[in-house]
This record gives sequence, C-alpha cells and structure tokens, in this order.
Amino acid sequence: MENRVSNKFWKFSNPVLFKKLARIISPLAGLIAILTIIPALVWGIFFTSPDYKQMETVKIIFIHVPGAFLAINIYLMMTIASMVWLIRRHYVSALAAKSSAMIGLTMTIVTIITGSLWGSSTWGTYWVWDPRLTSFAILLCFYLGYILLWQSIKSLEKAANVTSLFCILGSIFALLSRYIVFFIDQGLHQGPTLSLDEEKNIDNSYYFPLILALVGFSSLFVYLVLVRTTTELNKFKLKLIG
Amino acid sequence: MLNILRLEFLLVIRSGSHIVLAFSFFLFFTLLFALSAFGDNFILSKIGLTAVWLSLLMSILLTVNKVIHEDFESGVLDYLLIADIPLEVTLFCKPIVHWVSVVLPLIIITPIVLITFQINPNHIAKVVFVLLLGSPSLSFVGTMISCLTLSNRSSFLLTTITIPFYFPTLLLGVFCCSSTTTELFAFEYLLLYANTLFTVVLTPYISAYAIKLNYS
Repeated sequence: MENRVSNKFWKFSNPVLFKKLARIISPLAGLIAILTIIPALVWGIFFTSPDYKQMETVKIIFIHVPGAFLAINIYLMMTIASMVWLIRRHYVSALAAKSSAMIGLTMTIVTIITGSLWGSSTWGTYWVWDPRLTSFAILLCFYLGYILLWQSIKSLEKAANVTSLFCILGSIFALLSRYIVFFIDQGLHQGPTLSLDEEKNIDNSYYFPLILALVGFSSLFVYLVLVRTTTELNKFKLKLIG
Repeated sequence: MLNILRLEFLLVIRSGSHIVLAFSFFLFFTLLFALSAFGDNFILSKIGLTAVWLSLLMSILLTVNKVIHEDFESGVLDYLLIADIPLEVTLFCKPIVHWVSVVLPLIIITPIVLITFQINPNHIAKVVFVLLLGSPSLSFVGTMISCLTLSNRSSFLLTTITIPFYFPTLLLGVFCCSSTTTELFAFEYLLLYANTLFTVVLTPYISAYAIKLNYS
C-alpha cells in the first residue's frame, strides 16, 4: 500500500506528468489565493478594531507575518527539493528549487520592508540589530548567494548540483548563525504570534483574518512556483531541442 | 597524509607570493580602520577587535581561491582525484597548510596591531588565543566553498558567496574576544570550540563531495 502511494508521488518527477498536474492545480491555487487574500486583507484592515497601543499600524501584521512565514518555509522547501535532486536526480525538483528562490527573496524583502515600517512607528526606528531582524538579513544573504550561484554556472546539471549543496549547507549555517545571534542578544521583537501554545496567541479578532491571509499567501506561492517551474521546464526543453 | 602535507608546504614555500600579499593586505586593512577612527583612542579601542577579525577574514577570503582553484586549473586536481590517497585527506591537509602559511603569520603580528589600537595589554593574550582557536574554521569553510565554485572560478563570486558562511565564526569570535570572562570553558568559548571542531571535521567530506559533483 505504502509502496503504491510513494510510486504515485514519484511518478510526478516525470516532467510531462508534472506539467499536466500543474495545469490542473495552478488555476485552483490562484483562485484560492484571490479568494482568500482579498477578503483577509479587507477584513483585517477595515473590520478589525485598532490595537490600544499601536493603533492602526498593527494591521501591518496581515502582510508581515505571512511574508515571514513563507520566507522561512520556502528556504526549507528549497532544501528538501535540493536533497531530492542530489539523491534521486529529478529535474523537476531542481527547477522547483530554482524557481522558488526568487519568490523567497521577494517574500524576505517584503517582510523586511513591512517590518521596518512597523518598527518606525512602534519602536521609533526603522532598523535595530535585533536577533530576528538580523536572522532575516542573514536569510536574505543566503537567498542572494543561491540566485547568484544559479546565474553564474551555465550547464544546468552542474548548476543544479552546486546550488543544491549550497542550499543544504546554507540552511545549516543560517540556523547556526540564527541561534548564535539569539544567544548573544535577546532583542526588541516580540515572541511568536502563532505558536501552538494558545495562551500566548493574539486575540481571535486578529487570529482568523491572519490565518486566512496565511492560507492565501501560501496558495499564492503554490500558484507562482507551479507556473515558474513549468516555464523553467519548457525553457530546458527548448534548450535541449536547439 | 604526511606526504601531502610536505608537498603542499614545499609548494607554498617555493611560490610564496600570496603569503606576502596576505600579510601586507592585513596590515593595510587594519591601517584603514585605524585611519578612519581619526586617532580617537576611545573609538580605536572600541573597534580594535572587530578590525582585526574583519581584516583576518578578508585576507583569508582573498587567498582561499589559491587553495583549490589553482590546482584545478593546472590539472593537479585530476591527479589527486585518481590518486591512492582519499580525497578527504587531501582536502583536510590543504586548509591546514593554508592556515599555517597564511593565517598564522597574521595572528603572530596581531598583538602589535592591537597595541596600536589601544587595547589593554592584559587583554591581548586572550584575543590571540581566541583567534588561534577560531580562525581554522575560516580556512576550512573557505576551502569548502571554493570546492563548490569550481565550475565558475571568478574570485568575486567566491568572495561574495563565502561571506554568509563566515557569519557564525565571526559572531562567535568577536563575542568571545569582547566577553569579560577569564575562564576558558565558559559557554561562549565552548560554542567557539564546537564551531571550529564541527567545521574542521565535516568540511573535508563536504568538499570532496562538492568536487565530485563538479566533475560529474
């Protein structure tokens, strides 16, 4: 039984089947993204009460938190895809990692910009070298290095090899530097907003639009990564033909 | 292993131009820091440790491409790949030779540099100790990344993508240098040793894997 399920999963490493699946899933994901992001933002921005201390600026949370969530998890996804490339050598996974790097970089920049705007009104400064902010700067460096490495090597196979190893090593070193930064300084930034421990979470009136925005951003990522991976596969095919 | 070490040392001694280069670069770079403080003793003593660590890091970055890339270009690496000695052993020896030939002379002159930065002389022995124990990790990580970039050997690319991998060592190194404990097994020192051991033990294997990936 388990074998059959895994066979069904790995069969989508075939580019043709993958593209067929992408053609079905990507419009769905795009539709879900539109249907959740717009209501979440409208609900979050116009129909929630302002915070007693931070006033209206607290509503940046509906972009800031999903952006941060995606920026970290896209790197995790790239690491897994890189491992799949190094172990099973499926082109789809290498190209998926390549195409999600740009989205991850965008999400990191979005998080940093919204965060600094938020910080300017609540902390009185655009940037402090707080552990969480520093770890996002580090993440930005690793995304940039990954993209630079892809662009600097012409042969697809070699580039995929090298960038996969870079991505895996990068996840180790990014985590290392993150925990070292946390060890050195505790910082200004508040603790986790969406932990599993419900006592610490924010109020329900913010919680539900936030979850909706998270779902919307995630499906937006799924849509974008499927479209970009399909494009990359087509480009690769064109290169092979001529 | 001893043969490889002897061979590498001979090579470095007979074509030792980049050692002098790294040495001068280190001095000039620290001079830049010192000049930019306008002779203000307070600022100098504040930035002294950072200046030494950054100069060391930059001189390692600028010389680390000699370790593997030159061998690749001259074809020596092909022989090392098919030689009897495991590639991991070779890649363990190469950073060691790099560290002894490039980094050790720099660490030896750091006390003089630190005195010009108005650092308290009682403090200097500890800084040198931290540098000695922290910097091997820089050589090993640099070698690992240069193995990774064999397909595109531009030194600019190598420098750019190596910098993020130096964050943990730099953070721990500067933190340990500026911490006030005198105990050698305080938690931050243990982290520094762990970082060095982790990189020294694991990077030869990763470098060998990276070279094989680049040849496939």
